[in-house]
Amino acid sequence: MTEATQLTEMYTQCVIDTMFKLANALQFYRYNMADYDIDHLEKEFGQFLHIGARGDVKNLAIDYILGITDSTEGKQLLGRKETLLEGIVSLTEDDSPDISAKAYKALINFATDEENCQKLLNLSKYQNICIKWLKMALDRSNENADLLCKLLNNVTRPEKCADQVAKCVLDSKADLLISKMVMAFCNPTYNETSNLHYLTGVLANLSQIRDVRVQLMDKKQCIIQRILPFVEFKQSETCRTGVVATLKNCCFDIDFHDWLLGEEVDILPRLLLPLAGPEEFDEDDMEKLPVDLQYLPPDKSRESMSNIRKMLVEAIFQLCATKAGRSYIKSKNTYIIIREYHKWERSNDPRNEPAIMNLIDILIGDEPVPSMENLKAVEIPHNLMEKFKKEDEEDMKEILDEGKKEET
Amino acid sequence: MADKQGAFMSDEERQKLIEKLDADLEAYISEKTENAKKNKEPEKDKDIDEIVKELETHPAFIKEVDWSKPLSPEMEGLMSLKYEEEDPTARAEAYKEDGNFEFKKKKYSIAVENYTEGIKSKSPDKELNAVLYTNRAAAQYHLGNYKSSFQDCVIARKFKPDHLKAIMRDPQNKVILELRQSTEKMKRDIDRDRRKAQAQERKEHEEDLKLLKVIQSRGIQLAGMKSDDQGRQLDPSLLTSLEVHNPSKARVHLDADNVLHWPVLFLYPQYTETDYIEAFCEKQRFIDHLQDMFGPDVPPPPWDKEGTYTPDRLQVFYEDKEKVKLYKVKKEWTLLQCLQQKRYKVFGGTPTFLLFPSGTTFETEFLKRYET
Repeated sequence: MTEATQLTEMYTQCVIDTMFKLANALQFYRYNMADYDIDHLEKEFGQFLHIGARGDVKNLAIDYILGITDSTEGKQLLGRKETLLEGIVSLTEDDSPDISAKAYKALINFATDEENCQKLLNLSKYQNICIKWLKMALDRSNENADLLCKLLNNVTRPEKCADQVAKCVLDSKADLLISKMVMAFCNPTYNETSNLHYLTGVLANLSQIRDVRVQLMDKKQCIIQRILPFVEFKQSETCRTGVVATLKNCCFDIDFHDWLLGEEVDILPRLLLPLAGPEEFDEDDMEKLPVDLQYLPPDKSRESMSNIRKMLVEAIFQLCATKAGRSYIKSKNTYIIIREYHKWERSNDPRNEPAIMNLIDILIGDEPVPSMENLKAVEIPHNLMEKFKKEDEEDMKEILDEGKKEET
Repeated sequence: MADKQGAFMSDEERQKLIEKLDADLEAYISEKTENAKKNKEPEKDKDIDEIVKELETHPAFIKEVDWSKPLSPEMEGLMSLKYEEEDPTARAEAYKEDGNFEFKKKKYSIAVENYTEGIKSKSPDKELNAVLYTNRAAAQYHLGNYKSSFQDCVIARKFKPDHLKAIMRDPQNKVILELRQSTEKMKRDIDRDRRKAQAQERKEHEEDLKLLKVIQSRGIQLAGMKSDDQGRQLDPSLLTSLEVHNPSKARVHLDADNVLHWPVLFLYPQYTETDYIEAFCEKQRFIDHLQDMFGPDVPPPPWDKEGTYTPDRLQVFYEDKEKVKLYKVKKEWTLLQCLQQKRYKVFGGTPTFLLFPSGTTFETEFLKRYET
């Protein structure tokens, strides 16, 4: 036997041993989740969870990790070992599209709570990884762009993480990143292999942060205007949810209300249209509505997602905070749209009732006394706040109970 | 050999030639000065105003270029000097500067020309081209050439897809935003008008169907309606049989109390005259109309030569076109009662009746035609 063949055989033997070890680990750990020995796991897998490892072994290892991220316990264990996380992150850049996709999926599964998200964002080996991910997601030729968007969507969901990512984005030299995100998902051919719908979720998460909203509502640019048509984007619920959530967040800034409602953005018809049905109104009522809502066809349907409808109502409610906003919204005959929508929603999702009632109270109620014109600046006494909270809870309970009764 | 002879010209010959050439030159110069003097003469007649005017157009003293007039030759020379650069980028840059200068003075059409020249220089600098196109777009916008403006924006983006940054920082971006806004508003208005027209159409269609239903429920037959139509779904094409070709465009209609009003035609075959009643309420009787038209209070129609057209003597008939028969209408009937007759059919959306007085020779002759 020559030396060469001897070496090959030894090497093969070695690989086979590893396989057995892995197979053993696979069987053992999968069935005894409580007995996970994470230190052992790190020792066994750490070396394979690396971009430099052999392809077949890497594949087995990432398969196994992906399995672990399926359960809450698995994720908790994984969160304790930064080296393992770093290993997964390194595999996202693997040459094999199969392995990189699995690595992304493992990270997406992992990033479901605040603690885990923060761990991912603060890996010592990967500083400012969010910027890198964002840039990669915006790479026109990246085939994993959708997975990256999903990951970013998960990672930015907790407010603290959104804050951290937003700071990174705003501090980075790439100050146009926010508008680039908008341009990317507004352009259906931006990336031939990915649709980037989850990017709207990222945008919605980041818009929790005031500085991001200021960027979105830059009066010199045309950013928020571009996302408005996506409120009616029938092809993707994800996209509509993200866009409406972003708009709702933007409606929290009183100083932008005049601009949002004014000619330059004209946000009101966009928020109202998905709530409008095929109802006909007499000509006087019709002509008072914003033009986009006039003479809708008999096949006009309402937004199908209940949570999106709720966000739309809440966004309009926010815009009613100031006297100017309220009187504009009232003058546009918003009430008749909401009235018809309210009737319809009763038989669809009664949980939206409180939000609708709040809006209707403002639309048909008397104007508050001058000192309380800015509803956001009204100081609410603590005891009343408690009382309102209790009442809201009771109302919701009642609604849910009624819903149950109807079911049975 | 002749050449050689010329080459070896004698001194004498040479001297002669020189003298001749000198003389020629002298004559030529004197002629030139003579001519120059002649040309200069009118200049002396110029008054001071004209000189001032000439000076004003001279590039050295010029205050402002009047682009509507052809440029003075001196000016043109200077300009070509300025732009005739070897380097296309420098040339494009120069035109861009000029364009911006004119733009600031709100001379947008000149700015467009400048930017166009800049684009024509075909500089390889993509960014410069993007700027030239965006700036031209802005100038075109101010001129109201929205389509050209939009096209320039599109081309600008092709030169530099991320030119956005430059566009956004440019104060002219405001113009582009305005363009977007006004276009969008226009589109929304057009959409609304289209929806409104459609809603109107739907409403009319519904009313038409309702009308047909009412007509049918009254037991009135329209030409084209089949006898087994009763209770079945209505054929909207029947509406065409309600189309009226009279000039007043009156059509059968329902009033708020659900009463039908028909356009009705009275024919007087004796004198080939007609009367047209725009809205004959179905509840009215024939005699009511006859009283109004031929009663004692009304002057008789000019064509009634014999004075026989009175409510008493007039008879009303309708014609069954298929069987070619005349049927008498009782004058006390309402229009509805008549239309409900089994043999009555409404043609052309207009109930038509034949009227002539009784006890005339015309009557006997006319009735004969229907007897076979």
